[in-house]
Amino acid sequence: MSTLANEETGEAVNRAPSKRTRIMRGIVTPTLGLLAVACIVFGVLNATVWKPSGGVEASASVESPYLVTDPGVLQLVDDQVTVTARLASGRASGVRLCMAMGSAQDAVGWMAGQRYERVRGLDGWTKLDTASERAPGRQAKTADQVDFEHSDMWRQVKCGAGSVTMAAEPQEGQVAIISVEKASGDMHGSKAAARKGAAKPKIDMTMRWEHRKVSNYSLPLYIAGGLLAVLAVLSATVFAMEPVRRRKAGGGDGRERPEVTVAEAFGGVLAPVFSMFRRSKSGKRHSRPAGEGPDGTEGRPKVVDVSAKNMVADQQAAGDEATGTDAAEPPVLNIPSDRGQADSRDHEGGADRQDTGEDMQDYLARLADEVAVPEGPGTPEASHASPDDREEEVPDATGQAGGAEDASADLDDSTVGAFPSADDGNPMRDGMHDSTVGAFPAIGDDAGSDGGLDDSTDSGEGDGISDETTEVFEPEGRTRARGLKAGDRRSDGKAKGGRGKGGDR
Amino acid sequence: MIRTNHGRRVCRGLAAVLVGLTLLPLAACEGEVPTAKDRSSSATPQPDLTTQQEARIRRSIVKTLEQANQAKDPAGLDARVTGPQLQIRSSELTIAKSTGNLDPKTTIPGQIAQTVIPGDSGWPRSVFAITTTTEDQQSKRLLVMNQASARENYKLWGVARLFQGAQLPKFPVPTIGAQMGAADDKGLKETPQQAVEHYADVLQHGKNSKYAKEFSSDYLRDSIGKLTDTVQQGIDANKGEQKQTFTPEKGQIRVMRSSDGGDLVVAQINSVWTRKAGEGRESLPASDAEKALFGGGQATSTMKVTYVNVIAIYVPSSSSSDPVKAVGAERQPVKVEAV
Repeated sequence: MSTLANEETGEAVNRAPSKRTRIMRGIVTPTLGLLAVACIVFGVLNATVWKPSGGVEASASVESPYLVTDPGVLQLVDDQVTVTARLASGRASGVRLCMAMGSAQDAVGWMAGQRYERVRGLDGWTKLDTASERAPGRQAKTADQVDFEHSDMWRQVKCGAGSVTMAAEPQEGQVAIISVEKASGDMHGSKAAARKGAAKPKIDMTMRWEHRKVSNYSLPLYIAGGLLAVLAVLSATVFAMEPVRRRKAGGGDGRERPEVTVAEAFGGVLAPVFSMFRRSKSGKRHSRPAGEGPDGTEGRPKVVDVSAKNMVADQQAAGDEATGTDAAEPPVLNIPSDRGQADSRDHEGGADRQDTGEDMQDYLARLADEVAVPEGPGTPEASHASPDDREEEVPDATGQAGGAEDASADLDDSTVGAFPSADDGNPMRDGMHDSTVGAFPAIGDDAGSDGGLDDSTDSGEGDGISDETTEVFEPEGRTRARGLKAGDRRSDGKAKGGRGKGGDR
Repeated sequence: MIRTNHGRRVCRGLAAVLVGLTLLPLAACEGEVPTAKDRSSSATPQPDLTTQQEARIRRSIVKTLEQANQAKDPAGLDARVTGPQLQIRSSELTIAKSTGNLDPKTTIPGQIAQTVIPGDSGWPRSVFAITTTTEDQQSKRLLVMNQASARENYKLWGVARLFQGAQLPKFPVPTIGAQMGAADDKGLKETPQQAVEHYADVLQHGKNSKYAKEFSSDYLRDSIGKLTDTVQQGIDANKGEQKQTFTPEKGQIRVMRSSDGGDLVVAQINSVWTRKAGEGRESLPASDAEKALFGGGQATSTMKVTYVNVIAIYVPSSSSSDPVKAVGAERQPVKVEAV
């Protein structure tokens, strides 16, 4: 099926490119190329033949003594403007033409109450749009009036006999005001003429701007032409190709297999927290090897509970590797420290004890075989632990880790005694007990300091139970002969725990 | 089928290209004719004068004054001087002609420390300018230049010599434009007109005036008080009597609004000082100025001297805790007559 499909797609692949390529190369590319050429050509034309003209000149002819531009008209085409005003009647005696640049309100204030022509803007590119208006207000009748030329209000003022030209770069809001004034000093003969001339003179006004900033229409066309040329090239090459299928990464399933799932990650974080709470309940957890998590999932990082770290256990582990005969050590060492310290440590000690229980069994079994010593005085002592152990049979190692004085002392004895040799039956043990027990208080606390004394007291108590204890301990040898049993292991654990329990007294 | 579609596509493509080509030449046009609306500015209020215009006006005024000073003749003054200043300056020139020396207080420095140009569009318009101190370390002068109407030029309306240590309020910079006030402005401790009237009463009655607490003490009050006391001693000696009346001149008030809500008011207060000598004695001019103005007149037992006073008062806003205070003044006898 798949090969057939491949063949079909192969054929399709062979057929489609040619059609696509034909279209792209045969139609699209020439079209784009043609457009590109056209753009370039028009750009050149715009830069040369069709270039916008540099100047704008507009004019108007009005009959009024005043002519005022609207705000903004002076800056219509460019910031700089040349305004020319000419009397249609030429140089007439008695009158002269004055032009000024000022604010619109000043110009209107000057003409208060009089009719004037206003230039509103451009009417096409060569004509000015004008309209007739009357200025608001009324002329103040004061004797102190000044003539147009000498008014303080104008920024620039210029007067001429028949015409006046002013080039200016007016600010925003400034206007040009043209006024036909009586020629000063020419009052006598031409008074009448002056009055007549000033009434409704004809003014020709021209405004000329130079295009300093000429719009560049050729540049956009050049750019467009360039882009179209690039597109033409691309359409002939890249776009003519068939889009290539992307290969899938991996084997069909591109998803990465996460090394650790979210649940596992959370579980790993929370496990030690939960395990702390549950230590008192079940010891099962602690029978697990160190490398496993609560779920038993492989690959999870081992969560180390720092507070539960047991240096002694670590030493034991190191010792195991080194010698292999000190399996019994950690449990013994744990006990005195358990008495005075946190349960968690005891807990771990218990766990370690659990873990090393088998090792200890083996070791003790070996010793039993080698020594083959009957139950000795160590047993009564050791028997102290038994009632505790039995009581503690079901409960977890917390009780065992309780740090019982008697039991722990006895057990200490036994395990301590294990140094030189293992079993209770070892006569040397007692002696060793004393010495080693005596040595222990230095490490342990007060509880352990009187280990020897405790032994004696304990032994008194434990007499009644000695048999049972003996039975508890003895099976170590028997166990060995029979083979290891789970119950034995438990008893070992209990025995260990019993030490702890005995200390509760 | 394929061919027909293909052909259609080709035709469409060519049509699009041709349309594009025909549209391109339109880009070569110069564009639309601009209208004034596109370019006209939003109505941002402009100051009535640029600083260059103001400087030009002030220079013209000072030039007129100097010409008159030179001639010691007030004849050409009214081209650039008006109002109380015209009366004061005329009097000063008359005195100068008589004494041969112009009073140093008539000096107006050419440089200014600050100018306050309004943006008001109507008329009359006032421009305030504060000069620097004079060469001989006299205090700064507050100049008030006034344009009565559009067709008139600015004229020097009033000059007040600022008191030593007097603090003037802040005004907007000349490029922004200040705002003129009116004689009946609200929102102040009292209207400018009221402030002038109350101050006139304080000048007349001194500590006994019912408005005395409204104003902080100032140099003019103190100096007039001292002068009156001095003259009173002399009058007491010959069992004469004296009387001074202070009357604000109607319509001669100029107000400029400051940036902190108060008003700077410059107003003319005329005063008439009547001195009557008792026991048949003659009442003579009390100062060189009065003497010069009196000229060769015949003294009688009563002498009546008319003064033109220009006072500058700062009226704070009603929310301010400062009192109304006079910041500058000018006082000049303008007429001395024996009645």
